[in-house]
Amino acid sequence: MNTLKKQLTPAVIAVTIAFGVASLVLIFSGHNPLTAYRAMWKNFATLDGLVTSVNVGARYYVAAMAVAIGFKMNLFNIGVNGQYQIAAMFAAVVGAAVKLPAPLHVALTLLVAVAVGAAWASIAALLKVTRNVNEVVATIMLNGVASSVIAYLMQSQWTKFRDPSRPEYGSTRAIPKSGQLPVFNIGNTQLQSYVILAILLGIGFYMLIYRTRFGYELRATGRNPSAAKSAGIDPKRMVLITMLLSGGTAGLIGIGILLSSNDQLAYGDRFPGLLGFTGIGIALLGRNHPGGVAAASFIWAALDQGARGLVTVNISGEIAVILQGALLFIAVIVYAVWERKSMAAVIKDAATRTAAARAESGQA
Amino acid sequence: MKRFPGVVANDGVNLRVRSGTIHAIVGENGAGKSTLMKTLYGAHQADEGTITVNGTVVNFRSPKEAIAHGIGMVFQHFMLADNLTVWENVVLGNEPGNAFNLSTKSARKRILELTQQYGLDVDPDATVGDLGVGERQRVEILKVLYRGAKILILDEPTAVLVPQEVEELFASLRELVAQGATIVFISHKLLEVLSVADAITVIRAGKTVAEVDDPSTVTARDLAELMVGSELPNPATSGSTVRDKVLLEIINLDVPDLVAGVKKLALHNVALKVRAGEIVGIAGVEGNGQPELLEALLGLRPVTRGTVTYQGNDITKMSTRDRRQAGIGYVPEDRQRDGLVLDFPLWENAALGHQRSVPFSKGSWMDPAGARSFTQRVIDQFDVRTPGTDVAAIALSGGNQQKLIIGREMLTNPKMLVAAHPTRGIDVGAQAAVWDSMRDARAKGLGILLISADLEELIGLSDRLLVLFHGEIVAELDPQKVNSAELGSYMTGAKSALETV
Repeated sequence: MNTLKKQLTPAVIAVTIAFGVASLVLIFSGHNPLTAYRAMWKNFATLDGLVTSVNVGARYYVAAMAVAIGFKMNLFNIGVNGQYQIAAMFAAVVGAAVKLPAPLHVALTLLVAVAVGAAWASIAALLKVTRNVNEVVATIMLNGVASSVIAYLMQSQWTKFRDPSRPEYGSTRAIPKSGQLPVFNIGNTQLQSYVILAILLGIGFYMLIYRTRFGYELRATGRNPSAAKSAGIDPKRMVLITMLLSGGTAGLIGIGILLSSNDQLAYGDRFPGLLGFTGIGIALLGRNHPGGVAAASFIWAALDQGARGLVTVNISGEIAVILQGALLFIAVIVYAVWERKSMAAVIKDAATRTAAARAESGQA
Repeated sequence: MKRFPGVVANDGVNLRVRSGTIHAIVGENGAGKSTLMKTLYGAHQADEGTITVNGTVVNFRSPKEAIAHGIGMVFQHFMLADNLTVWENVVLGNEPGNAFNLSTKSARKRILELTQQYGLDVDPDATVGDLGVGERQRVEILKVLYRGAKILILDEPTAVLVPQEVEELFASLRELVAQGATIVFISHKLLEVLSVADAITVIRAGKTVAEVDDPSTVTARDLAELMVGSELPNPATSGSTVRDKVLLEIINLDVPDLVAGVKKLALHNVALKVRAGEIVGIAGVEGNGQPELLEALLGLRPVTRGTVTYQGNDITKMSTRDRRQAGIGYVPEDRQRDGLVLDFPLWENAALGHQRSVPFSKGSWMDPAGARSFTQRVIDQFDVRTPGTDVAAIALSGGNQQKLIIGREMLTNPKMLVAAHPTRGIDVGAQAAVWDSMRDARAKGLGILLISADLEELIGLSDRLLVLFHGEIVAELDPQKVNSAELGSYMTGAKSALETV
């Protein structure tokens, strides 16, 4: 389809240029780019590599969608990072503390994660709505506050949240079987059912943003706040709801790691700490569209997976990080140029088609 | 006399400007005035034809080359830095001295010379932020003169001026011409053109349709018909359809001016009534509180005193959404800022402001099919020139965007319409369609509060006229009895007795 091609072309251009940049870096550091890419591909294109990429991609996807929903109305929730961590900690504590039948146990843990993420985001939202505090500043600072709160609650002498049986590193207690998400065994690896949750979330967001009246109001506010206000859309209400949605989604980022048996089943020092920031990059790469973000998440996770293969050919795994960084940087530029060009094309096309229609109807 | 024949041929436009004259170019919006100007100024290149300056054929590839040939442009929208002084603004981008030393003295001296030579009354050391609109315009003219322009192109220079300032501008223009400059003056205000121009070129649909060497031989009506190419539509309403029912009532309304740090009222003690089936026109020079009145009525701007009653209910504290749901239609003054989301397709723009009603949404879900068929009706009835309902609004010309907004508001069956400049920038055929739809809706009981800079439209459509001056209503007039000149004197504050009709 023509529109799909239009959407994909800039992404393909960006990926190509990014690989070019990474190749140059490899050549300058004395490596053969083809060797590197072959090693990456070999590590990725196995059953295990694919499943891991999907599992990791799913959490990237949720992180990026949390960011994207804010971006859709020009709201920059930089605090996804703090929101998902504090949500994961509380979800882990509650999940380990209660005894419930399996589906209820999982549901309660998810609910806690969403509620805590949304609550943490609501601080920045309320500051913006009532005191006009810029949400970028507020959420960045709340990231720091979240880290401090977590460090305080998990301190070693206090065992309310911390598991005393694992003194070697800080961690909450492990979540029992009834609180875990099911996994599907494929060969020797496990596909997390969290992936289904991420897919459902993506479909839900697509419907919400592009099909519902709320989504329409959200997009209108993002594109032209002044016109949206004239149309009776209350900007404060939109900020509040969008921020809660974003924070609630952020709460789900850590759930796959927390509740899937092959992963950690607890929140602690080894819990990934930068998924929120990765999500910002992936949201940009996927142009905040549920489909685009899905592709970007998978590519990002695949590069992660491929990077682990670089050791086998004595190349630093950091080359994958360079690749990711270059990709993001170039994508932003390519998209901006592409957008301007295609907008000009749209205007020109409309003008010629209008003229053609007028000529046909006999008007001069 | 040095003769300077300038010929522009672009899509059949011929323009011949004698040196030392004020030459007006008149034409409707979209007739090609701007394209012509941009070509003259080097912002566009002509595909065909030639431009000749002082006998030499030129081909400007950029405004820089145009200015090198002595052609300078004064834009309608000023491009001045408010925090700099007049002389700093004038030299900006063309500073005398070197990178480390701005030679202040020579710059100031040259500017003083220019102001004296051309009789442009402006203090070089004043801060631009403190200047009025007329003075800012003189600074713009100075900028162009400073760069050595001998031929000045002015794009609708009177659009932003009050009548006294227009007189001052015309005096300056005559002085400039007396000093050897040549002025190309673009306007669609025909009376002004007739009062100042030495020659007039009328363009329509990208072609020159008339060249008038002696303006005293034509009337404004002649020019208008040349511009339009047909009989002019008439805004006049016939017969009264005013009902007894008061739709909208404003009592003692105070609205603050939202400019930061300024504690003054944009509107003071405004009171008015609009009955069902009545069009109440608000006359006033731009900047006397018109947009503030509309925004206060829509709930977009806080009100510090007074009440607004709609259909018998106090809506002073009601949200914008509830007001619009209650049937108040809105045609904002700035269509791109307040009326459209430019990169949304037309059907999504047609839903804007009505997104909570059928046919635009069903419950919580948008209804694209319903919205598209509604948009198609707007396109058909208001002659919106577009390839379809899925085109982004940004692809439409300004006039067609305006038609989309008017159509959207009129076809959603409002009970009350609050409209600013409903026909601004749209062609005559569509203007007639807009007026017809307003008259029809009025006959069916629609109340309209109309703001317009087009006095003919205002007098023709309105059942009652109120004059807004410095945020207060200073006169209530009967449009049947008032003429433009008299209305003008109220609008400028020359006359201000509140007369009852």
